[in-house]
Amino acid sequence: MTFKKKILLLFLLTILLLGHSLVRLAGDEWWPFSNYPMYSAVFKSDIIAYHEIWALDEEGMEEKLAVSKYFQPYNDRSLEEVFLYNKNPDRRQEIIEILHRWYEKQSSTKNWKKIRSLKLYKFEYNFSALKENQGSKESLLGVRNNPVRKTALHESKSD
Amino acid sequence: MSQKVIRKISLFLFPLESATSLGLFRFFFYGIVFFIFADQNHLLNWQEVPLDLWFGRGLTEVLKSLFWQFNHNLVFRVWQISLILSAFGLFTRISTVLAFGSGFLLIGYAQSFGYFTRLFMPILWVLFFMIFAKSGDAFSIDQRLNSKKRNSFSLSDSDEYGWPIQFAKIIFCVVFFQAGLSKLINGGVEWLDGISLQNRMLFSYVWPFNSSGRLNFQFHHFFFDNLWVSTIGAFSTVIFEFFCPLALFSRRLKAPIILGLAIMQALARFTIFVNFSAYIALYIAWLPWGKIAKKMKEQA
Repeated sequence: MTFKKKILLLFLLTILLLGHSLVRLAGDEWWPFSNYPMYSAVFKSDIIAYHEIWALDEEGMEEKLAVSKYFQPYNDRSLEEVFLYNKNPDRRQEIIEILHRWYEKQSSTKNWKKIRSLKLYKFEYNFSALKENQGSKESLLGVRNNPVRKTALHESKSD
Repeated sequence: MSQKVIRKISLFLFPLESATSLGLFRFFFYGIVFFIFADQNHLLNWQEVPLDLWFGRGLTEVLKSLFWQFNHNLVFRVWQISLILSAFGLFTRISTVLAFGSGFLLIGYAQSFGYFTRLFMPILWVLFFMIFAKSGDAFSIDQRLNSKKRNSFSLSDSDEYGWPIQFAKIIFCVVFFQAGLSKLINGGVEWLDGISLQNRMLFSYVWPFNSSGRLNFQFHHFFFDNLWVSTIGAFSTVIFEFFCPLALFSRRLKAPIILGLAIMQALARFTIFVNFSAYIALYIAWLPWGKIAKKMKEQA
């Protein structure tokens, strides 16, 4: 291999290593450099929460939306991440509006039912209740299906 | 720096390897990437997402205008074809460049809408370095077509063929070292006691977005009920991840570290429901390609 090529490869390798060191120091990510923080946070909170998108239809009935059907390629998990990354309430409100418009745009061609608005709900349940009921699958899922709190965080405005 | 040290560093980064070793690595790496990604319309479907939801970070934000303009359908086809061509080693120099370029656009775009999976990034880095490799010199259609290189085994060991596999190993180690360091910085001793991991397993099991409720409860209950399992799991995860770079230097530690990481990721698939199958493309860098090539030569 030529000396020139070795120098070029060394330079590129240095960028790889330096980039990863810098995002480590900054504590943030800069695609395609990452500090790979997945699952690194301590998970000992008493209250755990997750978010879901619900739709309010023309008759005033609320129903959970299957994200992977209506907002493909997102799924429940990845769409929740969008809200978790965007902590600014104004931006979150904006996102729910965008999702509503996206739903409307698709529903005209896909014959989905008309909705009045979209809502972002936060569900919470006690971790200790989960621990106490870990003995059987049914009781565990029972706790999961009965959250202690359900809070509407954002709602898209009706047209 | 003395000549001896420079030579050692040079041999470490650019080890001698045969063209067949690199050719085999190329075939399996691109083949696996193709099977994992190329039939995934998932990458293609991101073009349906409204640009108002754009959440570019780093290079995707800097190159926003490029990411917003490319033709997804065309690039997706290029991605599929170039991965196959790269695997079989046809027009290797061009196809590897196209495989990286199209993968960069598709993966970068898909990760710019708030959903940020890090599984694909190390693969992109390997794809990037492979464009500089002479990976089509053996075990390839290019070699068959090139009369000068028709006998791949006549090509002697060279630093030209060793560095791409070594760089893939370095990328592998960077990823795991960063992951281990993140756990130590963000979680520290509290992460190591196993309670955090046990809680996460329990949460993953009941999380409504997972289909875990349909899986064998007894298997999961074993983890919920035995803290020592989670403690060993948490401790060994951090040890294997943090000390992963040692696998580059120590022959004795290489096998336990790489095997430990593979077992850890396989278990993660069934306990916290994270699918690390994309990493298979990286694990193969640790296979003894030199020995495999030698055996092939003997049999030939």
